[in-house]
Amino acid sequence: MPHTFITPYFQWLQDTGISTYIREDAFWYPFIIALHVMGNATGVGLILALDFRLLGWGMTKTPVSALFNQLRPWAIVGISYQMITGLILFVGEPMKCYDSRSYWIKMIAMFLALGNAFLFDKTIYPGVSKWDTLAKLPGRARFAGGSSLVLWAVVIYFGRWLAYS
Amino acid sequence: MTLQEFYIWCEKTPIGVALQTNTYPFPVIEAVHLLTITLMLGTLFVINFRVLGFVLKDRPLSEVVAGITPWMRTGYVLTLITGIVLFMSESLKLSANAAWLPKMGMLVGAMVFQFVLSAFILKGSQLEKPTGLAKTLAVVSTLLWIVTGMAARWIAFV
Repeated sequence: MPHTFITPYFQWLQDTGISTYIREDAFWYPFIIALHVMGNATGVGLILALDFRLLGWGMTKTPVSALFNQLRPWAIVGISYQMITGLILFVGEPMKCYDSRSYWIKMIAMFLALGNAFLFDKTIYPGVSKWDTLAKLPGRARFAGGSSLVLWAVVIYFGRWLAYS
Repeated sequence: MTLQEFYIWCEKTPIGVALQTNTYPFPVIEAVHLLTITLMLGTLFVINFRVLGFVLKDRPLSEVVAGITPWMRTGYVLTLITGIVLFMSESLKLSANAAWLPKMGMLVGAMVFQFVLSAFILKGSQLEKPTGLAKTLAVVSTLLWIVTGMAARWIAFV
């Protein structure tokens, strides 16, 4: 990323004591990375199961609402956990993130994925009673599931690439 | 053939050489490996959480297992393939890595526990009501999967 008017904020964070502390700790930094990587399975992994159901790729015997109501709290816990561990990692290396293209792609995809989930929750899901037990769901529900699947995959993919930057 | 010779042979295979001599295939396959792990573990955790009664309690266990298993298997096969490819590119280095052997050990443990749970317990007559044994297996395998994944990520740090 070219340096812009926001670069000094990243640099300021990089120079704080807390950032240096996180970055330079030989055990905790990798440990939090490992925790963050494994949070995937509960955060994003459960969302994938919902996405597949929305896409009609399986679990068609289970009503959408059953899956959604049950997995949603766990997915929220998982994503919150990912955000907390992710934020700690970001505070440790803000300039590495700033300079990495993977970081920006990941962040954009993450906000799109969250926006997609929020919109699904507020606009599409309230009509679930009309298609709860169908195998093939309405186009907009399938679209939301497909977008979620692709966006979260991008988040994970570039999250791993970020470590190589 | 000794283990050492096997590792050297792995690194000399066309797949191993291709990953060593090109910049991009390794990180790409590594990132895909992480994607397939997410698929495998995310779905596997749905089964384990159902056994423990955390999720989908009002749906029959058999329905959840039948619905989830194909995705879990897909994730499992893809993870195995990408994992083997990654291993072949640096088998000798991995064999000397302090995190690698513990990871593989715990992985085998996690797989055994998970296999016993799905092949014997969930296929048994008490399918709809998980036994204490089934719950124990679900807890142990879930914990083992998490620690395996953390140890796996640790390979890059030691």
